[in-house]
Amino acid sequence: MLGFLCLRYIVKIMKKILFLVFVCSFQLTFAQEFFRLKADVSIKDKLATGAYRLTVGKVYYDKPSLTLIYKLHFPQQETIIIKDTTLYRLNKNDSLLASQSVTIMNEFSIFHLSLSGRLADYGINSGKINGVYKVEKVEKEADGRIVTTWKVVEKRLVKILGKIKMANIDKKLDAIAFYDVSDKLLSQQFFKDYVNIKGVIFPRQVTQISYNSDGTQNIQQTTYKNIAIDETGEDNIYNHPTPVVVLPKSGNSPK
Amino acid sequence: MKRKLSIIFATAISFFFVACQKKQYAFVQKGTVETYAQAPKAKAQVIAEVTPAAVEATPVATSEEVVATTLANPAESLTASNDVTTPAQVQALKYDEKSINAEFEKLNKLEEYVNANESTTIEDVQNTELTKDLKLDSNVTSTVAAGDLPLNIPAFWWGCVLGLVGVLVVYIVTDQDKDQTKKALYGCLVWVGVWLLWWIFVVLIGGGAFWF
Repeated sequence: MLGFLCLRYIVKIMKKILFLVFVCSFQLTFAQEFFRLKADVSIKDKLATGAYRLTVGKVYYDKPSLTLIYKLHFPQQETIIIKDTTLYRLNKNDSLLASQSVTIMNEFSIFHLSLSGRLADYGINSGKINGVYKVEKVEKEADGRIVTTWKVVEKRLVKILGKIKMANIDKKLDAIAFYDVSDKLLSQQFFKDYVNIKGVIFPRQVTQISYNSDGTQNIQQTTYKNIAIDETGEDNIYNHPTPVVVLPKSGNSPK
Repeated sequence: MKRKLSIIFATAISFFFVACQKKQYAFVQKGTVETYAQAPKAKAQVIAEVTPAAVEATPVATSEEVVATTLANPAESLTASNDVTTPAQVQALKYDEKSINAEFEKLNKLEEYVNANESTTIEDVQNTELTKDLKLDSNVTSTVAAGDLPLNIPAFWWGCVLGLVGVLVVYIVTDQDKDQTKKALYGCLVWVGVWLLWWIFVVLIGGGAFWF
């Protein structure tokens, strides 16, 4: 009799555990972390000098390693790897052509923000810059867009950084504008033609306009096609080894 | 060694300028230069109040006009100017699809062709109908590293706001990119010009009181 009661008790507990496991797995499905993005990319630039640039190829982003890779075929076949604030240029034979320091933070790239589901506020309210900006004003425009003005609250940066304005439609980032401290518009970006792939909301067209002090402007329009999320395969590209930069030989040390 | 010396020299000059500015600011704080201190403050407030409405009401200069100006005298695009009104005239967060498309009209044919023919490189299309009226720049690094400057602030403003320190920042960060450094230098020159004008103005208005 006692054994039967114990067995019944154990079954009851097992049922509860199974239920909890089910609920947890259900929640985990919805909180899925995306880790890779691949797309065909075409970048058009119109420079203030009147010159144009066209860059076409594929872009790969690996979130765990914060690595951004461009496999380009136009203007020439080459690979560009951006990792840890360094940009590496490789030729079609994967030989290092050049490397340079950059201040691009892949954590704030459109790829990382989209995979993390933080593109809606440009990641301004989280991560390393959490606490730098604070919402100053929220307005609703006639067309339904929500325009949020963010001001710098970090004391050390108040004299360096200006406000940021962003417009959202249906909780998606539509446009963002960066200002200097005297409220002059420095640049703005527009995010259009959103697509939902496996739950990742990604804009297929991004247009950036940077304003120069002399009234001219540089325009860059990036178009993404064939966007793939968390695809398997092509690991050799996503995990492309970081090229080793050969340092100049030092002089012979005296013996 | 020579490079290091020039960097040290530039930094020293920057510190000197900053020190001078601080001294000047102290005088302004003391009220020694009353006339100057109050005027710009009041003006700034007026601008801050008027700006949102003004931005909405100001007719936007079409991008074609801007392009026409640029193409008429490309050299002008590299010339520094004190006229910094244009960014304020642009409507923020308003996407003018027509004008943006018009900007890339010439490039679209080439883009279509390149997308359709994946193995195409710039050598294949040079001196063809596709690139006939196009001044093509093949600096890919600048493209993928667009907005690469710290805090997404253009080179000119780094020079203009931080002077020689800003130029140095741009020079180091862009890995000695001549174009960007040049822009920062122009910004720096504008800053120096404004700074000198300010000093002359202060000396004229404040007179000897400023110096003692």
